[in-house]
Amino acid sequence: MNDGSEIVFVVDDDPSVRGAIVRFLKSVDVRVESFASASDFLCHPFPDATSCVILDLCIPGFDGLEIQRALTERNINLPVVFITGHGDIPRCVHAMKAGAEDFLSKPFNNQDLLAAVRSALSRHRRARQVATELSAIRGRVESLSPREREVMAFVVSGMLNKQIGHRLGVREKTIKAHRARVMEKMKAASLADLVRMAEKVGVQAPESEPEA
Amino acid sequence: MTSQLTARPEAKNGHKRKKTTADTEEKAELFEQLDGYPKFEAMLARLSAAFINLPATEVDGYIDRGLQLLVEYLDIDRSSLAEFSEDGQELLVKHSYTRPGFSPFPNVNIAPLWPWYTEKIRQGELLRFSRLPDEMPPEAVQEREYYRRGGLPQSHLAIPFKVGHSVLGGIGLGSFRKIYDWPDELVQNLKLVAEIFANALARKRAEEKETRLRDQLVLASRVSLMGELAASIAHEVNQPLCAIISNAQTARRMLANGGFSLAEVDESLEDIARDGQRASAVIARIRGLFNKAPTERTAIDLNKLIREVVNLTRWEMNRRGVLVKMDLADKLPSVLGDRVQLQQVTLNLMTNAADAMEHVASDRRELVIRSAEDDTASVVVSVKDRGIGIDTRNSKRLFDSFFTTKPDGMGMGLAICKSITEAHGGRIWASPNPDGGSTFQFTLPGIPEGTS
Repeated sequence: MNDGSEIVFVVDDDPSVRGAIVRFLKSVDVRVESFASASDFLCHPFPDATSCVILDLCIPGFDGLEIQRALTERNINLPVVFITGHGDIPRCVHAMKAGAEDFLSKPFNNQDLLAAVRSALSRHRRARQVATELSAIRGRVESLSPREREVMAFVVSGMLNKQIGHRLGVREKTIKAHRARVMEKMKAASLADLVRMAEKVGVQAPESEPEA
Repeated sequence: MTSQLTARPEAKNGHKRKKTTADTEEKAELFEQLDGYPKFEAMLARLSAAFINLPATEVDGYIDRGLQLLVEYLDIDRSSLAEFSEDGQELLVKHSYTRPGFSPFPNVNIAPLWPWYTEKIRQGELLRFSRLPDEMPPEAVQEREYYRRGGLPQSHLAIPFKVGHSVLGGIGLGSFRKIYDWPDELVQNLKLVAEIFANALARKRAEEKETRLRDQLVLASRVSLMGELAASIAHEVNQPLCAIISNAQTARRMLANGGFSLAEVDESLEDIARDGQRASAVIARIRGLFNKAPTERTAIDLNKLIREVVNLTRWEMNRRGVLVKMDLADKLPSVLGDRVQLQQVTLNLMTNAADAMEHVASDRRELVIRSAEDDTASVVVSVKDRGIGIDTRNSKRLFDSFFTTKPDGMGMGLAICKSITEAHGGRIWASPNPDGGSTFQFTLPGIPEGTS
């Protein structure tokens, strides 16, 4: 089902349940790493890979919700699939609000667990793609000179070269050259493409518009 | 106390003796039957002394012995003791002694066999027959019928015994070999014997009733404790079931899809079997806790017992945010006790500790359960919490029945813990911790090594 780079973490203190989940996921070719305690899991280095975690909501010493919180605090945006032995509704609601991917009650169906894991993995995959793209765009913005960044901001705000030249007190021809380099460095295929990238990383036109 | 009781028969005797000597020659003649009479008095004195403060468990044995002594000293052939059932419907033969050579008296319910006789005893009437069956009145239809068949004593004496106003039963004496006239003097003394027996039996009944009530209370409190732990118990059973269902689905998938070795499928099945056992063991343990089987003393490893209780409460403690730490001695002598009752004490102290920490900050909710051996070779189990602690004004009443500081508490938990530990030859107490919270601990005498 995947290229082997995707990984599912299982955190459950009950060896029987943990063992069963691990066996099942392995049987459907999912890479699994399992942990008997919250601290084992949190101390473990998180690989740069698409992953998700199956968490027992109620494990001694460290509540499943607290793990979820700890992950968020560390900026580890792992989708969490909670499994719980009973229908503790307030806690489920709490977990869902905190961004749990899914909630399964024990005993669960293997198929339901797999569906939840797959949807968690694909969410993480998408999130990682977005993050990768963002950091690429940020890298490109970083590569711009201060003047180019200024020009880019005016361009994406919809100003014409002439207006930008007037605004910056330089000739239109110079702006045109800056603009070409911005398009090149930003790897923008079109003006629309550049605008989309600018929106993503939040490049905005400088304030104090003369027309205002 | 002894001298008082032994003096009483003599006083009555003296009084009666005067009357007897002033009686007819016939009576004096009868008296000669009692050759060993002074010896009999001495025996009575010893008997009554023996029954003073006799523990309930020994009453039966002493009554058996007493009945045998009566047969031997009076040179009769049978003695018996019958008690009315609690509803008063049955008159049950509980004890009897028959001289060897005669058929023993079975432990039967006399009431349906001899209704007239039973009714007389019930009314507290003394029955004295020297020549049976002739003396049996015509209205005793069934009794006469029995006597016609033979095999019954020629002379018979029945003395009802009372405690307060209620007749508890009676003692019966019978002579097969010869005619016995049961002189007044003897009857007076035998009434005393009946009184001694009756008091002992009444005490035994009261103690048995108390034990029964206590057992019911212990069970009721255990059941309510288990009710509080219902979610925890459900969790304990649900875990292995969850693994079983998942493993079974995986195994089926492996078989259906192929590409897996039989060994892999077999591993799943092995785990399924193991988890099935595990679920079943949890249920067996719980059933044990609901069991009202009578107290059974066995050698118990308290460390193991503590681990079981901690396991059982794990989920509940976790739900309540209580961190449970175990600090168990490496080597601990076994104790002699009732497993379920000792589990109950441990369970009770643990839930109390959790209750005490309900309103403290969550990072302070820590419970430490410790086991150790003290210098008297006793085992000490302590449960330490970091809760609200004990109000010193309440510390004396803590273990009293119906004393509680909880809004929905019954006030029975600690009283029952105390009653259980004391019944095990141990004690229980509570003390405040210097750093807040309280520690409850109980000790139980250890079994010396090599004797268990």
